[in-house]
Amino acid sequence: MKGLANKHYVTRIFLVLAVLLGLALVVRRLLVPEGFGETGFYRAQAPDEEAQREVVHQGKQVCARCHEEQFLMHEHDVHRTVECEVCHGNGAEHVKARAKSLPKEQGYIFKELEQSTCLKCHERIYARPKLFPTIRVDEHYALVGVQESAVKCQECHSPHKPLFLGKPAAEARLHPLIHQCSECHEEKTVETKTRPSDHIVVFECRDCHGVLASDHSQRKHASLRCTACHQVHKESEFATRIYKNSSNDFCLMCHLKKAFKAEGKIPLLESFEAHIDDVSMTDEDKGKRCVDCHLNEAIHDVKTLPKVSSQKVDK
Amino acid sequence: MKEDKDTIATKDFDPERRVILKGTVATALAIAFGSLPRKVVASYKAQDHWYGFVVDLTKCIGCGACVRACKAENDVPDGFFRTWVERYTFLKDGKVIVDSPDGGLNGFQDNLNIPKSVIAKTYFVPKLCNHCATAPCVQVCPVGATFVSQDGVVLVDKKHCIGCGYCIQACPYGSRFLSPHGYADKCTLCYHRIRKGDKPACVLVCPVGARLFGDLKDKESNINKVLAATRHGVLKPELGTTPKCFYIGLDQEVR
Repeated sequence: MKGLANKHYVTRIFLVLAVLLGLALVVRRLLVPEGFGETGFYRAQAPDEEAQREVVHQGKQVCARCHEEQFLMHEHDVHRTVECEVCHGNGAEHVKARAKSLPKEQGYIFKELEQSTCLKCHERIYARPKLFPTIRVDEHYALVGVQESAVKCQECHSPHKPLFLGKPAAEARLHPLIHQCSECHEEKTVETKTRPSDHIVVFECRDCHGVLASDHSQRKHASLRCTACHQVHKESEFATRIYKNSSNDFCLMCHLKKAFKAEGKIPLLESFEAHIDDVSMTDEDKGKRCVDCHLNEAIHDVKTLPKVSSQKVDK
Repeated sequence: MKEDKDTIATKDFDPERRVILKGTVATALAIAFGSLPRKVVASYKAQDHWYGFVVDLTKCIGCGACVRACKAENDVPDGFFRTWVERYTFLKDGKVIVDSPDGGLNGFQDNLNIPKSVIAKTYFVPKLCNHCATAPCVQVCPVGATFVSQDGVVLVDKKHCIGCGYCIQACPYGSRFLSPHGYADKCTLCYHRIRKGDKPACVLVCPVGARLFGDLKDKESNINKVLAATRHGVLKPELGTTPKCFYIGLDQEVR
């Protein structure tokens, strides 16, 4: 019976514990946010809150709703994989200004592209994939006789329609993957020839198209690599497609007279029409392409072409 | 874009063109429709998805479009990156040089001044959160503010994060940073875009298709087809983090 005399101690302990437990429950209620633990050790509504955030990059389909003309042109070209917003900046504010929920001035979109915009992708950097078209500005400008180093790329190359691969893939021929020595080696090394085992697959165009290549080396375009006109597009690990660029626009990219091009470096035309008048073509001849007259003399003799490359496909 | 006010376009707001546009009801509707904010897909069931990411190193050209797009899309503060691009240069003597000027934000230049004759190989490596299935950053979070969502995205609950920075130390890939706004921040795979049926911004803008996003639970998804057909790997597999960001054309030196 002696123990029961101190009963109030036990009661007090239990009371204190109960109060502490109650307090802990209240504190927990206050600290643990709503929804916590329903789907895991996190607030269940957190993903949905994150999902509500506004989209900034609109995507080219949205651009196409107003700029259909540019979109259609762009869709048929090699640059079709480049979203509008890569060069023009994101369209979030532009779209809002269209819907008049932002002042018009804020909706302007970046349009005057600098040389550096193009060079972010197309400057020759050793780490870039070898088949990706890259240039060094000084070399490229020396080749086509451009005198001012600040001339913008789009003076000759339209960014929406840069001509290369402007044709459906079906019109281009499948071709085994070729690597050219010059893609990796600045100068031809002895190693290249003596230790081909060091390499994956090394082909030069001339390995198969020897007659054509040696004929080409006698012509005015000898300094150009085959791939300058025959664009190579990698389709898979082993195969490429070869696109032949023989439209007049393609030739005129180099041969059209521009204020910034040096005279005498390469033959320059005022315009294709003026050239036709100069050489007094008949009306019938006017539908001709540059290569119809100049192929043999300037590029490579048509007689040396392999039989499959009939010119029929190119229009 | 605000600082580029000098070089902004004006043609799109040519008054004459606007009159023509206003004239056609269809175009006006298209404009109105085009400006509508996209909606989160209502019938979305997170359990039915398990998102993954593929980076094809054989395609990356190091242009930095992904880094710039990510910055704009997610309002990433200066000096911090949710995604960035590194350049690996393997020398013939076995040395590996890694550089990433400003995270690749303004692209790269051929400025390493290493003679080509000593370079064995070199390529670009875009980096981002690997969205690990067993993420170490999630394990260390004391308050449950970072988690792997039911659809497999490692997210941060900004409202709940206390900014202690444990997750930043725990991440073996350096994918996290302490935002000046007071919470840990990281790549969300553009969760606000993918829940609306869009691609993440970096995938959208990649001009060469070096970045792919898709659902690993969907057998027909592009990403599953690519993974089935190509040799791929993940970063630091020995850590057991089960990353869901797969790399094509990876060397073991890339970490």
